[in-house]
Amino acid sequence: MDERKIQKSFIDQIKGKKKIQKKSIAVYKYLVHHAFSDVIINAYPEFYEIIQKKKLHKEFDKSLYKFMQTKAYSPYIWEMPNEYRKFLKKSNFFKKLKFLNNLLHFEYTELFIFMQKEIKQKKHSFKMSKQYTISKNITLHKYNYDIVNKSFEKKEPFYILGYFDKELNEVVYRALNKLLFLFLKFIDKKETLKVNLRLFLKKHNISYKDYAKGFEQALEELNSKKVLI
Amino acid sequence: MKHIKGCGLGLRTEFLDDIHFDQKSFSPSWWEVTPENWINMPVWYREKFDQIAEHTPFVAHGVSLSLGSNKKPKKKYLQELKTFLDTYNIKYYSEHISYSSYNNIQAHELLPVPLTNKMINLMSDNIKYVEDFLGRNISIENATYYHSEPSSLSESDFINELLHKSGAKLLLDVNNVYVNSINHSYNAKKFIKSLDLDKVSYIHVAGHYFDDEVQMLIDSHGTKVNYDTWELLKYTLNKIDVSPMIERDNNIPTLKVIKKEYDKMQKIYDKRVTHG
Repeated sequence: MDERKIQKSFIDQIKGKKKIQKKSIAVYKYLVHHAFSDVIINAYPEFYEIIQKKKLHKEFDKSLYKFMQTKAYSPYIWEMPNEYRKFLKKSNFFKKLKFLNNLLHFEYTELFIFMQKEIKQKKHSFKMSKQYTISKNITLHKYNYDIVNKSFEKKEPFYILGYFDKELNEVVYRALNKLLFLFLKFIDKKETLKVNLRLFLKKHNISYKDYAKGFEQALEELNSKKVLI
Repeated sequence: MKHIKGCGLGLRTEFLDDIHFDQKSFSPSWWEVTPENWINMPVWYREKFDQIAEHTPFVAHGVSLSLGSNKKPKKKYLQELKTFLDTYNIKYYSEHISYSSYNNIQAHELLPVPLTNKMINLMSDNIKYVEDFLGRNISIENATYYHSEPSSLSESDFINELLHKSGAKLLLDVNNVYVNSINHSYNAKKFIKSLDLDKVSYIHVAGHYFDDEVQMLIDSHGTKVNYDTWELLKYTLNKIDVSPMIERDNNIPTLKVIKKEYDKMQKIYDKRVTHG
């Protein structure tokens, strides 16, 4: 008896790679499919609404089975939606939905931010002469659509910051201007914020004198929200 | 598990707001936690989870180690698991007699293993590997199965031999025994009697339902514990002195509602302790 062959054959049947040979195996096919679809649908409500509106159920099911067969690695259920997003990015199941990766990426950020460990630190007054870095608990991403308003008609850049606001007890999304977005990406934690800002503005041929005050206010606020730590 | 006394309950996020620490508030003797659900817990759960851990002992019950798999559990996950167990001072950890991944690809479901000597060897190796890594003796749970793979051993022979060979303890799920006994036509009490009961660490009870479409009992963990499972718990507790706990993973009621079931279990447990 070859146990590996038995297990492989069983897995292939419940994950839709091979035809089901027994009714009792179909129970597992249902259970596994349900476990995956339930998580994906709950993590990506907007995506699933589009699947329903555009009647893409067949494509959704096919993609789910292919994903189950090949790319579901994490033992953590909450990481499954992001694995599925990465899988879809490299596949052709939803060719017409050009905005799909942007949508899934955005929808997953909420789950990602929820699952981060709180960074506890003593309160210090904000100073440009100190060193700061961007928290790993936030998301900072350039999208090609107005993703927050779920508008996918026009392609244009949107710079979105997402973080957990402890006072509001919820994930907050903010559209940033391009310059602030680029600066947050630019920050080198080995340098003070002031040095970082000088280098950044010089690189973009922008006057430090004209812009420093505005940046300082924005950065202080981001520090109070633990975006900049 | 000789150090854990009384009855347990599965800790679910739905209960967190209703858990308080004054003397009047309900708390089970111990909570069972599923590490996969708590290792990366959302920020607003952590504070309460830590408070609960300070007041009530935890026992951990995993779902993704896939002990019957052709690949050993990944070190990265085992390290995260060990850190979690150490952080919350959890001595007792259990998993399932099943597999949930193949070639490291997850199925997120407990799948039936072929009941053979080769599988006993493979699972024993995996169990020992996990025990060495975690620095703990683990328990393994008899799982439900809706499909029987080709096998050379009976289920009870397989379990007893696996316990013997691996040195693991048995987490006896009496609801799983009942569900399997109906689906595969055997006598549940006889089955329990045939197990090496000295090795039982603790007991699970849960709810199930009959599925008309597949004409089988399904171990859903989504309903109240059924009469037959309670009866089987009574039967088992009259044979061994171990703690039982209730698992509820779906259609999760309020803590107040599940307390009624807990009280029922406590009565059965107390009766056994008094007259056993």
